[in-house]
Amino acid sequence: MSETNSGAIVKEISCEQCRELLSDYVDREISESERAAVERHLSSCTKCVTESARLNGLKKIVQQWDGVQGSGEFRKSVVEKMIRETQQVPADQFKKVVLASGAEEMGPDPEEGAKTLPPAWILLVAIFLAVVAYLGIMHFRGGL
Amino acid sequence: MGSSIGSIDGPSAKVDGATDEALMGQLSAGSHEAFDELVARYQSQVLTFCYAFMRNREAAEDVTQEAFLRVFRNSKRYQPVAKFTTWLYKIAANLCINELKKGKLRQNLSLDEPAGEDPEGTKIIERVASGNSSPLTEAERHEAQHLIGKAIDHLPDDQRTTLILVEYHHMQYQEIAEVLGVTVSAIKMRVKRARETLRETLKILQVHV
Repeated sequence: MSETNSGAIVKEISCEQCRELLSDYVDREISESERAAVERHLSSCTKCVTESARLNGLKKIVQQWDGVQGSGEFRKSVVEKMIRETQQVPADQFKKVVLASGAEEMGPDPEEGAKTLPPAWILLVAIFLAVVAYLGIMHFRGGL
Repeated sequence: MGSSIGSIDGPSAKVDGATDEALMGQLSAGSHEAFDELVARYQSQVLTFCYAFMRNREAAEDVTQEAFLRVFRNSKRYQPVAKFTTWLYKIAANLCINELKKGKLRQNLSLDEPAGEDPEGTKIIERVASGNSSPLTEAERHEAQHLIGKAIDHLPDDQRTTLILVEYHHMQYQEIAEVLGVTVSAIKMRVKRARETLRETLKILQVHV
């Protein structure tokens, strides 16, 4: 341990400990006390200074990479797909609302036609029976 | 940035200079312009991130497109408690992982660059690493891109994706840990190993860093 001018205690570390911390050090992902310990070690160890410079060199190499660039065409394609989805969503929601309300019986849906037939048959039978009953009554009255 | 595609209709909103979180608010209200701006801002970053996972340009484009569409579909549920980019990269990472589980995209890469085949390229990389060179010419930059891309491609998957988030996207370890769903300690280890592997790979390519 040693004391800095500001009074903070700085831990002494070995080359091995320093190299364990160097990768985090060059990324500034290290605690204040560890940073102080690494810098103290670097001030007196040329081998670890060289290692630190190598890591910074590797950082510069990867940062030089351009990566994969997007394009106006790609962007346009993504936005157009999004717009197509926005146009589909209200239609789907509308269909759900219509089906839930039972309003489909109001429309001329051919698949729903079969479901409306039984009441029509019942109506026709009722009319037929009413006519038969009326004729029967008239016939009975005429017979008296 | 801040331009929009002319044919886009939809609720108009001010996107120039808006924060990502503000754009998400506009998107949840139906602004196509806000979506266009988010894609413009992050398409290259997300493409590069997905490429780091997939090592296949076409697959990276498909996943990037799907990631942006999921941003749109979930825009109403988005809560700006975390940075927008953390959320975006997390969506992209999950999509990439799911794609890789299908196991169709693995490429067998080999470092078949014979020693000394590209002495000019290696000198350029060493100049970049030294940091005290004059700016690269267009031809030198192209040469450097080829070799750097090759070296990055040969990193193991977890090391490559982590190192790209550190060096290309300039993310903090904590944010990377959130995106990739691992601990900060694991990120530290991956970055350290990635640099060791990268140095070994560059050595095979006759670049001594």
